Amino acid sequence: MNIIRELLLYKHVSWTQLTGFFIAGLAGTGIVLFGVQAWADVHPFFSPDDGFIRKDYIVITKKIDTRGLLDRQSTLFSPAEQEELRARPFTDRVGAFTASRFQVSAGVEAGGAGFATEMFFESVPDDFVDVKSDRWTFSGGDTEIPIVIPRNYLNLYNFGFARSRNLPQISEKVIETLRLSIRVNGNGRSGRYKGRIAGFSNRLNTILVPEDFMTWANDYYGNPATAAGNPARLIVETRNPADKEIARYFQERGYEAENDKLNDGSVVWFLNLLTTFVVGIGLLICALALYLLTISIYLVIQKNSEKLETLSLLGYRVGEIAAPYEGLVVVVNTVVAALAVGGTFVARSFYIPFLTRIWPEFSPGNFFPALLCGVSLFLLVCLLNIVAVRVRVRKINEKR
Amino acid sequence: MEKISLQGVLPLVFHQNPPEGSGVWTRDVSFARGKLYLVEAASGRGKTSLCSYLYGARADYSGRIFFDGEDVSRLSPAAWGERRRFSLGMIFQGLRLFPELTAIENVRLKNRLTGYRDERWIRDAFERLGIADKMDAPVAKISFGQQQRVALARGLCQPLDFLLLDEPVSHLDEGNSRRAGELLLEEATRAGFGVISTSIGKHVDLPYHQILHL
Repeated sequence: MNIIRELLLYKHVSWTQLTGFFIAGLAGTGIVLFGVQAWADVHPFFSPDDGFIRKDYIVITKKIDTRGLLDRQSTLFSPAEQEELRARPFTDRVGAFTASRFQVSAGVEAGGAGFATEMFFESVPDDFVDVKSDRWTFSGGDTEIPIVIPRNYLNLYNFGFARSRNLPQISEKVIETLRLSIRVNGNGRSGRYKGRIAGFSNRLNTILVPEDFMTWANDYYGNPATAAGNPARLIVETRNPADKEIARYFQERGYEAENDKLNDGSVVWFLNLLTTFVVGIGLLICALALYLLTISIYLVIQKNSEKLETLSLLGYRVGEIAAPYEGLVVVVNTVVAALAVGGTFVARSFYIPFLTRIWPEFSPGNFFPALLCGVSLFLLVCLLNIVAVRVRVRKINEKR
Repeated sequence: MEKISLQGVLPLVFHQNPPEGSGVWTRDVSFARGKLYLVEAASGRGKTSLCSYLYGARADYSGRIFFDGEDVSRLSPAAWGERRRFSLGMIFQGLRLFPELTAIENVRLKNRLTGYRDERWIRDAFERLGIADKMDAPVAKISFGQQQRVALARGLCQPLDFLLLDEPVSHLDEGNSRRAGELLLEEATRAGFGVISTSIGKHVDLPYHQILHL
């Protein structure tokens, strides 16, 4: 038995006040850790650097007017225009659409019956494609071409055509199992390929193939007479699509944005605001809990001031006299921090699967932010408590 | 520490009306290690004040006190703590025991700080002071005379250069006072520490080298 601890603490400490601190501290720390961890998990998904939702892409074309009928070049983007667009402060990157310069026909065969249709391909630099797939590659000699089609096409069929004709609706998974027969002609050559739907794009309203394929095929099948020209469509990556400068610039140049992008910037702003608010509330509760614990310990120290004075007169050092109080602080704060970290871990194991379900692209970070925050808060609270205790004990020792 | 010196020390409370004929207040007085001193005075002459000044528990005096030439007013609380562990002991008039602890726990509380005595010595001291049967009794439940002997045992649980005793046997009968004096003398002789004991008339029986009147 530690006589000092028995003497100074257990007979005088208010367990009610201590329980109050414990509950408040746990609530405060838990809220802070959960807020920080949830923010760390979700934020990269919305951030301009890593995620893809926050990055905004604007597909632009030139206005087609009667002049375009006579002069096809007037609807294309010259290298100078592309350079100028790249140099704008709102532009992060610019990608050009490359159109196929060969004939393409694609068909589906099922049980001997089938149909085929003339079509076209386009490509953009792979970084701009919002479908993540390991098989989004092509090298000369491959017989299979991965294809991305707009999700709109499927929706158009499922919710428009199929419903009006009482046809079955088709899921993305079913479409992905289809194999298309693709025939390519041009430059006196022809070839047969298998087409595989690699995914559905929300961003790119065209039939996309990997840029590698397009470069190779335009070279191999492309009509030499129609050498690679300027692109008719560009895709612009920007951090802030709400930037007024963008609208002004486009209008001035006669560019048209193909789709009005959602302003995800406001989502990020709201997320940050919400996190700040939640973490702020958590910190406030932590501060109040810390205050409660400090007041509670001060009361015990005050009640014991004569004993502390005697211990000091017997030769006990400030550190030795303060040790039982500091021990209490460390034990209580350790339990609070451990439970808060554990609670956050459990809560996270619930929300991560949920987020993964609603956003298949979602990839959570690690548990480090909550852990780091928990340890930091623990150290900070302990330090503040210990300093408060020592100042108080020293004051009693020096009052003579 | 070999010597404690007082230079013109006077409690602030006596400044208006200094006591006449004091052999200590306002004088230059020295106490040497290994010597036994008795400071006698009537009530209100400042016996407890003197002990408190020498022990660093109070500093409401004018004049200067030196430990081996070092002015004690310059000692930090930590330095006082070190002296109270390893050099300077005191038996308080009010005893300053912890009433909720047992008699032996009170002694152990000091001894765990210094590690100076073993358990056998402590038990033996209780035996010699005639309070062996009160060893495990809470201090609050034993008489003041018995508490004085517990305080003496506690005061001897450290290395000493000087031991201050503020009316240590005021509540002891002659037999118990004699036994306390024997233990004290034996330890002082063995360890060679100095004793400064105050008395209002009844004092611990020692072969004092000097008796001062406060």
